[in-house]
Amino acid sequence: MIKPSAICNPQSALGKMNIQMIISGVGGQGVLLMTRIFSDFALQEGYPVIGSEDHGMSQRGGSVITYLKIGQFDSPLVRKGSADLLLSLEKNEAYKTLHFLRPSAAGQQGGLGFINDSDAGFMNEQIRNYLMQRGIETHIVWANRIAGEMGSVQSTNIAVIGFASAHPRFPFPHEKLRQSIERVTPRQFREMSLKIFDKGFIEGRKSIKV
Amino acid sequence: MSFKEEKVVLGNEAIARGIVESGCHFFAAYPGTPSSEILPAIVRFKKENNLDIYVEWSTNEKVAFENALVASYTGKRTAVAMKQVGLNVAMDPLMSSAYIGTIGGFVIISCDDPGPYSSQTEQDTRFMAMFAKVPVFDPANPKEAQKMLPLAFDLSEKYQIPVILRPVLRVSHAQQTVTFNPIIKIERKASFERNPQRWSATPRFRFILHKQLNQKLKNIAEEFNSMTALNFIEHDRDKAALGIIASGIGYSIARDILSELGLQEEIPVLKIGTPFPLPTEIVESFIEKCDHVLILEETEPVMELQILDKSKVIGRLGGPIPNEGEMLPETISQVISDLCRKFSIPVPEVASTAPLEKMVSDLGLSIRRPTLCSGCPHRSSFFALKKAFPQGIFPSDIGCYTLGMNMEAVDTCHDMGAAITFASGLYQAYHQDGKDIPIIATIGDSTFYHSGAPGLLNAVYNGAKFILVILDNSITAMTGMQPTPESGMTADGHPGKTLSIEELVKGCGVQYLRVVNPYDIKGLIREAEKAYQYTLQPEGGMAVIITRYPCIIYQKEQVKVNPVKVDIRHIPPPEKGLPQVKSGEMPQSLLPVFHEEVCCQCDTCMIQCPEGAISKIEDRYVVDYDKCTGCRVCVQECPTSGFDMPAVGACIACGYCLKRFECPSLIRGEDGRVKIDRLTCVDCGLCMEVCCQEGIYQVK
Repeated sequence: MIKPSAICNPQSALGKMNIQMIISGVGGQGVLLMTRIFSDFALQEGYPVIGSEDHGMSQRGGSVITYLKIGQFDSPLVRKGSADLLLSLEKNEAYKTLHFLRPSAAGQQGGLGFINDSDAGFMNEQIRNYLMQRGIETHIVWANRIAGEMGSVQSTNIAVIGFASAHPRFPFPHEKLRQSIERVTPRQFREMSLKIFDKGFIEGRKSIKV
Repeated sequence: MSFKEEKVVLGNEAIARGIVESGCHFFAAYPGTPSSEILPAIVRFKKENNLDIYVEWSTNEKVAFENALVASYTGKRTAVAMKQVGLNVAMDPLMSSAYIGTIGGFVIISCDDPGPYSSQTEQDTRFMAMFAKVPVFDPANPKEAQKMLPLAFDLSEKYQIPVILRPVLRVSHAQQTVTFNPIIKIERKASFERNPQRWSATPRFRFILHKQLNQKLKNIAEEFNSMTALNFIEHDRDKAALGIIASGIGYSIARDILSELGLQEEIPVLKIGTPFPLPTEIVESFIEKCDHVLILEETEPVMELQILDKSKVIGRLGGPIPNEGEMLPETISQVISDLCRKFSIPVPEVASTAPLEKMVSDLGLSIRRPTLCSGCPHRSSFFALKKAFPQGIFPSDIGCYTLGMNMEAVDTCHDMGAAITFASGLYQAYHQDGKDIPIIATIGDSTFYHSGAPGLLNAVYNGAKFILVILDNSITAMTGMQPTPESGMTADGHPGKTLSIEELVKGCGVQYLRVVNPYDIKGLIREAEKAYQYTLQPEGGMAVIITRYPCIIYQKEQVKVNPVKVDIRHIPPPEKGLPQVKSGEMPQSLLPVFHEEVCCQCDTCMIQCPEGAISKIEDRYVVDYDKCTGCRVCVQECPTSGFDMPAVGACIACGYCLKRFECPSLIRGEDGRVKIDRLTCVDCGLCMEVCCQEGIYQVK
């Protein structure tokens, strides 16, 4: 008596993509816009999306975590140690969400983390070694500076995505994300967002050594 | 042309979509996390599609429930939504509605909050359904919630019984790709048919109705057995070492974990969409085929309790599933892996993340606790009230202002409306002993309309005398800015009327009423003291103060009209040198000196000192210089100038503003002194009045 419900068991018509990701930051930094960009990408490409968001009771300034799963998933939360990607807009929030990244048994090809901070060497040494041994790659980008120099520090979130999209293992095609940013960002920020996205990408190309 | 449209939406929007796709005519709700987004989405669909659906924000859940229930008596399809503790408020009509039943389909949406993230309890609405004897649907994700709603309406209409849909937070607040189906329109004109034996049944008829209800439930359980859209087996097999019975979010988690562990083929899953009444036939036949059965359901063992033979059952009753908190994927993954090992099912090792979490927790990173927003009028209300009554008792209520706890100005928070009833109970308990102490109840405007007024009526009637402060920010802020009756705005813009809190307070028999702007801190302190004096008079009574100022998030322009940009002076007077900033390290010359000769023995300094550094020995006050931070509150508060201490005119890092004012825009800098976070500061200027060292000044 196998009767899986069609509704609960979405079949993607277009290829395979199973990505689990975490986006973390502080209220007001634009975690939600990032989520919308990736959701839009998935929707356009025909991949099912499910996700959830954790934020405290406060309107502003509290921790915000988004769980996003693109592909064949049913539950909205990401299990600790199973995220392919972590995008974090703030150092402390990054620390608090690092454990979501997927370790790799072989010591390589583990989860990928991209963290916005001015200090490329901020990561605690013990933690850095622990991650390295498990094939978890973290990249620190001073996205505030990239966005600020282009004239819109509010678009730090976009700079992080641009930077990450330069990584060869980043699963989303740069050009498709660019289209999603174009669709999702408000008209008055659109041009600026795209410029910052491209600048982030160039910085990523320069500094990501694999 | 296709009507189908794919979108990534919030669970609550999917629920709203399911409601309009069912042809619902009447919808009522009271806001509460995680249910609040359902109504606005219905209003949106109504406007976009020009639908004939009546929508209201009701004043509380009981009111919403009864409005929607009786509309179903007229033959219309109706629904009501609330958070799980809201259903407690509506429990009275729920219990009775199970017996009396409905005519048009009537669906109750009650959103649970396992965790809990923003509720008093983790209660499981499915238990309420079982207790009230009404069927309940438990959606596994937003998509399924949308799909379940037309089925729930049909079932309700077929059996003339209310039906509950119970999404948990991870359904209501999940986002998922869903397909919008066409909205159906069902023509139903209101037609109430008189039937006193049913609509106003006496106890004798209630017995008959109860009997009918039991028969209905039996028939519904039968029907659920064959409702394969909701109750079905995945990867069924004749024999399995381990099987899983999962309801709601438990099913989604199980599916993802089994697929991750590569166990889908090994472990069959019986998915239950209708945990009450339990479709026992398919449950029992599934259990028969398994050696062991794991039950996954959120939050209480509702299905587990309905399974009579528990010899194979593993769940919450003495089992490995935690009995409190949300079911997290890592916990369930661990439980399934452990069981597989126990029952010799090969399972891959999952690496623990505990060592990494331990390393991070050893870093001692600051935890961002929730706090009132910068410029929030509640903050100045609490600051003034605590200043006026440092020894008072502060019963409070449910809303943003519960965060006044951080300022030590909220002593109790129990359930909607309890600020007032707790205050009157406290008053009577102390008064019985001949002792009258300051009791200051605080309640928000929306909560006052919800269930504050009955408590106030009772307090006045029974002669309680305390201060009630209604924190009126003109909006239901915490749940996302829903209008209150005071605004006169209705949910979908249908004509309504603006109510007045003043008139309501007076109508409750209160004779002492003042309206104060909480941004005037000194004025509020003065009014609070006057109000207290009134409560102490023999002919006095209840004193009510309305502190009225709009929510700063909702009406940002309020502070933009007259911004007060402030800064904190960090340069100490040159002749004194830089004061040592840590407690107990102040130079002697900067600490308060007590002058016995002018002291009037009023204890004010002792009571007001935020550090508890002042004590009384015989008839003089002694300052413990090890505890003193030099905040200078004693100097400011002493009515006879009995303390001597220079005002530094700059921040000395005493921490008074951080502790008592707790504004997120005031942060400690590297050197311990306070600085302003310009990103969040809204230029309200309130902190100027807080610093006793006169270190905060207005920038011209």
